[in-house]
Amino acid sequence: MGGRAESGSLPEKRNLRRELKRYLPVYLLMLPGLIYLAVNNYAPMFGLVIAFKKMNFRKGIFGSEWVGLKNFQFLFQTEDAWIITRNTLLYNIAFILLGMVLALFVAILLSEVKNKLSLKVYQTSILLPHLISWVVIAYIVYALLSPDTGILNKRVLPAFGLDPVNWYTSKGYWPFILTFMHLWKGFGYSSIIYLSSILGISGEYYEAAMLDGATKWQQIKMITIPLLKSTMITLLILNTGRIFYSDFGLFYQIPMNSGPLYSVSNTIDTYVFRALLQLGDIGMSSAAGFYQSLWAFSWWWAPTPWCGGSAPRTPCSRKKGGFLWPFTPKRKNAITGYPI
Amino acid sequence: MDQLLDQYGQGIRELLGGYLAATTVNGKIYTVPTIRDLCRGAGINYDVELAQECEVDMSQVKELSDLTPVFEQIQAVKGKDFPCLVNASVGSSFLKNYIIVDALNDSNGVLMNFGLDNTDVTFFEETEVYKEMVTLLASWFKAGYVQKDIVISQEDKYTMLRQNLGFCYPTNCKPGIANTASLSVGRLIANIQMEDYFATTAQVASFNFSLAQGCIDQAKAMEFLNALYTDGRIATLLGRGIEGQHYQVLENGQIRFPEGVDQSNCTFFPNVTWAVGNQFATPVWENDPEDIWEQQAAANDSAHKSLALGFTFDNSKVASEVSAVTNVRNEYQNQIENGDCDVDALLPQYIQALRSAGIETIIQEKQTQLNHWLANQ
Repeated sequence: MGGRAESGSLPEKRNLRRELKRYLPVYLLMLPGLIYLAVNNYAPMFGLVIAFKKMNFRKGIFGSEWVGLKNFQFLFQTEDAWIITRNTLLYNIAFILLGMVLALFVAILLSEVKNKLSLKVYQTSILLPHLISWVVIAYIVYALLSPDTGILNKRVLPAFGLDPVNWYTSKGYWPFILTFMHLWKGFGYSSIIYLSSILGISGEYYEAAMLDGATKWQQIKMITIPLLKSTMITLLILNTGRIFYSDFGLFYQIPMNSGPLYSVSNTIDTYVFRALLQLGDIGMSSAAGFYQSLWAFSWWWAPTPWCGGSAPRTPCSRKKGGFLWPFTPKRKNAITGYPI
Repeated sequence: MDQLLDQYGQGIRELLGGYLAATTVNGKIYTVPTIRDLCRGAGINYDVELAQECEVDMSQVKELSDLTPVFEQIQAVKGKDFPCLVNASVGSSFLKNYIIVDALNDSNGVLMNFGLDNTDVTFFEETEVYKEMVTLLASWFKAGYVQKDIVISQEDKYTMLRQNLGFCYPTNCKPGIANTASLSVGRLIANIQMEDYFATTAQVASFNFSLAQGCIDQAKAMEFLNALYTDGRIATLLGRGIEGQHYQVLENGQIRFPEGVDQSNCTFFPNVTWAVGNQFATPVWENDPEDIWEQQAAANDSAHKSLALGFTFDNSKVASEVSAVTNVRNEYQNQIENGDCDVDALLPQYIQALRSAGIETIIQEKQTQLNHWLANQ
């Protein structure tokens, strides 16, 4: 026997109109953003054809002749395509994983701070790097790493009896330097997101755990982290979706555009920028950009492993759904008829 | 532009003469070079006061290797790690400014010895000459004579010298270059020329005027261009400014800053008279010799002309190789040619990277085009 009829059984027409009327203000609110998206992100997509043309500015984009895949040749002539893809991917994976761990750690620490004033001070100071422009940071780093006048080479290393290092021409250090700079700039922002979620966890859980004799670490492992799962997964999904996008300021400004560092600091975005600046060929640089879009597009399914059930649950219940949750057939409660 | 030049630009044709060949492609003239130093000779500019302070005798310096003891002496006085050699411009390298070959447009395949006696397009990075120069530069860097962050420095050479943070830099030489530099730096700069004057297409065609495709009144535009070359008043106006406000005329016809004005507060001082058409028609600046334009004209005429003067390389067939090679150069060239590396390790890598990017294809294509062009002369 059925209980109350589900709302979907009402006639479609009336539903749509009512919905529209009710939500009209919300749609209007969305409109500017949608227009911006359409104009800035969707409309320029037709420009992808530039990657397949030999641009002649007098004939315009549509009048220039097609050259097929010729613009892509220079990418694969050397190892360039492989290097920039590898760099982009590996850096992003490191950033996502390390960033999450660091932000979580800091957020948990911050949640233990009792003094309100101290908490504000800490939050503000870790958020500060996020607000500084990469160009400014590049010069701060330069003050540290400059070969002859930098603080490291002049004061710190000699204090340990080590020889000065020519930082801007030595490749080996830069994966670590760049990762560190990214984490330094971003951890404040991410940790605040986690912090707000942690503060939303009811104190009763912790009290119950303490009564049971749980240590701090056990509390974190059993209460905090499972309850943060939905936040973690949301952020993971957002970040994985941008895995082929790199922070231009970080990879272009911090190495001060140093040639010898290209093989470890060139990502797809900086490569496209340099290609257009130095080669002057808009067809070829569009080809490099198209290459990036292809990769990003073909990996749309990447975040789905994280989508296996993300509704907030008590620490004792099972995850809803399973792998590829949006695509599993909906099950319904046999008695009430509601979906499980 | 041929017809327009014939109709309205006779002045230009007369002044440039044979040098117009440098901007001709397939028999048609596309741009006209400005009248300036159409030849170049490699050398260095150095800070005179600093040389005197360190009691260095610069008259003994005739070649690059003579500079080594000079640098040593300067560092003995100014302290170790004083950057004696600074970068000629941001993102550049020593060899990009101290040019000893005919680069044939893009230095992917050059003519050795300025193209004076041969037309064999050579892979420059592989030659002994290149290796010697780069080794010398590396030895300088290792000894600490070179600005340490030369590869990434964003500072202009003029700024460095003005702050007394440098001694010399490589430059293109021409009559009066020392004075131009002294004006820009604000201290006395002297010049030592180490290689003869020679003229290549790149030098001649480095700064040109042309008419835009969308030009509505081509005749008038050409008339103006002609006036720019023949009428000294226009060139002076564009290059030096308004008389009385930006410069004042002295008795001998030379000019200088008006009272109370100098390089830092003059409202119009681009100091690029080589870009305004006919530099020889502008009045001479104060400290330059009076006959400097005659000197320059004489240098232009007497310069050794490369056998490839007038040849322009069309790289459309090898565009992807050129892009790949450019990427390789961006990675290695500044580091190697500034000396900031271990030459024995990095040079073979550089050569190999250039090879795999396809530089030999470019060289072959260039040689074919050059031979074809020579045959048609």
